[in-house]
Amino acid sequence: MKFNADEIASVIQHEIEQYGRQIDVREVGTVLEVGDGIARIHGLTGVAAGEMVEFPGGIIGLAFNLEENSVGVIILGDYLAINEGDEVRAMGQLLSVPVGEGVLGRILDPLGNPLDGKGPVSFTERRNVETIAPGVAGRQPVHEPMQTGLKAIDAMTPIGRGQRELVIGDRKTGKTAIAIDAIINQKNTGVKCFYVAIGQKDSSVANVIRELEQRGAMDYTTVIVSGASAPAPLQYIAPYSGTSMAEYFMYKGEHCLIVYDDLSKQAAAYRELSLLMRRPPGREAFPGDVFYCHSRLLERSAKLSAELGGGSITSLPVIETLEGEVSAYIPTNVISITDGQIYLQPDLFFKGVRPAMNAGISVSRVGGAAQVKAMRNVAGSLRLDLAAFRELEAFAQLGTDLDPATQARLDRGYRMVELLKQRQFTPMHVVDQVMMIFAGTKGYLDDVPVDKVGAWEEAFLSFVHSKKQDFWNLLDSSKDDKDALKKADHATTKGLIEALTEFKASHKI
Amino acid sequence: MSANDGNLAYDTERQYLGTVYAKGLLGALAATGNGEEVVSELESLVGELLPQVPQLRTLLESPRVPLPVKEEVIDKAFGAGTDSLRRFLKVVCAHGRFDCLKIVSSTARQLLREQRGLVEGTVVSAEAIPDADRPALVAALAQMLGREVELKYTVDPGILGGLMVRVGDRVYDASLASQLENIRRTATDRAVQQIRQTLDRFLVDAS
Repeated sequence: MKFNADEIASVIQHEIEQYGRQIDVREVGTVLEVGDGIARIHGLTGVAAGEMVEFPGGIIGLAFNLEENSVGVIILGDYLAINEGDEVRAMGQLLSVPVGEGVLGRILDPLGNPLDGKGPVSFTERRNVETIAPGVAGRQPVHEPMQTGLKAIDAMTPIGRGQRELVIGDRKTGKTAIAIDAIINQKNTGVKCFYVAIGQKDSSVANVIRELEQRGAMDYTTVIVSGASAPAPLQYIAPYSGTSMAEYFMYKGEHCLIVYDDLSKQAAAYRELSLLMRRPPGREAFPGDVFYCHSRLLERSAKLSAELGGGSITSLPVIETLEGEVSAYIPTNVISITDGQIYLQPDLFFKGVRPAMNAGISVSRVGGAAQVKAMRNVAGSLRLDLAAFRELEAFAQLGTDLDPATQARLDRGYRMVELLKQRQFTPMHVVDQVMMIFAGTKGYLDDVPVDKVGAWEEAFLSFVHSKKQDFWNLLDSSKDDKDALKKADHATTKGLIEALTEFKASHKI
Repeated sequence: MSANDGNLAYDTERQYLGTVYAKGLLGALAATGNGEEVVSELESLVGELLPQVPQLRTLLESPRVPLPVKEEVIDKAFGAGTDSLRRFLKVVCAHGRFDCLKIVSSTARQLLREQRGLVEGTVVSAEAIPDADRPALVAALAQMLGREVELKYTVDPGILGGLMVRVGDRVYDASLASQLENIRRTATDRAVQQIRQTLDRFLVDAS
């Protein structure tokens, strides 16, 4: 097959015949100086803050600073192609990105241009990058669970749809791994995922994309990339444009999960822009409105009211700390904005506790209401128990002789820690998680050696799936029953105890 | 010649200072009522005299020449001019702002125009517009903008045909070049869009 040139010519001819003569009225200015991703423009007297401007060659800019005699513009593209004296025209509209089903499975830049070589993005609608978050009346409390597939998180810091849960930790503590596992676990749930990579090495982003593709997660995921080599303005707007793409689905009544990886780099990009624009620096040289920069972004993650369709955006912002310093400026800001945080610690990570979540200071402020009831019943006190175990463990290292009760608590703790370990890219179904945590907290693991807990877990789960599938289905269907696994005479409790006893009788350690 | 002499370079700091001096000058002249005369003198000084006698400019800009000497030079060189202009030049020298004089002169002219409800515009055409046609163009623009227009005419064969009028920061572009560019853009966009929507229509069997 090849293209029919005559047919194309006829379309073009038709367009030329239809072309109406009209005077093109535009507001213009002149580039005074350009560099480092920003330009100062003389003229453009009527331009609005945040309005798009066009440089020669179609490069887009955003009016950022409106001063008495000039306009500061951030350039969303190759600023090296712009020269002093170039004419700039105001476009009379705000920055927008293509949205819709067409963006799923694609790798895009923050302006919605494809980076994956799979041709143009098909879209019918555009959405402003900066939009106002839904108001009080447009929301409802978070009540549905957003399963991450990680035992430690779903049990101790449950996340609900519409929640904002911060993932915070030093470099190389598995922050991105948690986010990727959460995305992989959304398979077959109808949740649309968005992974916004800001200021990361392109090689790391390529790895993430490869993992998502291998696990079939790219079908429902959009990756928005502004890498370390992208100009600061693009890194600055990337999370907003990703959120706009997610909002399209939220307002259609669907559910989205968006990962901002990571917001510390976005704050650094915003600091760079603000300093170049000569806005006054504040703490750590960040501009005064860096809090607003993050709060207006994260406010857009919401659980909409039933009248608005009940859609949601759950966000997992990632913040990288330096040497565990959570009291730095950006971490404290984002901690105060979000509905909880998952705090990852390097020492746990190197001890082999992965995900390296510190149960003591990780919290979820609203997710408890959204947790699966059965999970709530078995894991209710898990977080506090684990924190108490950590204290006891530190105390026990003094080498004193321990009474049997304390020793038993320690042994249980070691097994629970072991049980909460999970390999990367192996998200678990919530029913499997519930059964394992029940087994751990009720002492069914007490006689299993600590280093065999992993193998025991695998064997038990395959036992249930092969021999007790009926019970598994029962637990799955009644997992939101408020008495599930709580009352001793409840069918689920009886069934699980029966399965555990039967397994223990047959399984040799 | 200093760097801000070119037409392109735009110095926001000097522009700000120049505006202050220009407002001051017009304010002082409002009493005497000879604004037009003094501003014309200033324009001829900046536009004709200074480029011809660069030494004069160097001397008046130099911070090393004492003020009394500068005042003497101003009295001698501009003896034929109005008192107001000489006084103004002395004030500018006393504050060491002689380098802003060019901006002062252009801003003063602009302020003067605004006072009279006039706007300045530039007309670009592919060929020179005959004098006979100019009043009609001025009248048409005045009607469109709702104010009187003072036009400058320039010729740029690059626009191929039609007119391009710039008033302030607004460009009214009826040039042939930009219309052709618009046609090219919309036609190709539309063609690409149709090819993507109905691919079959555009394919022929190669065999």
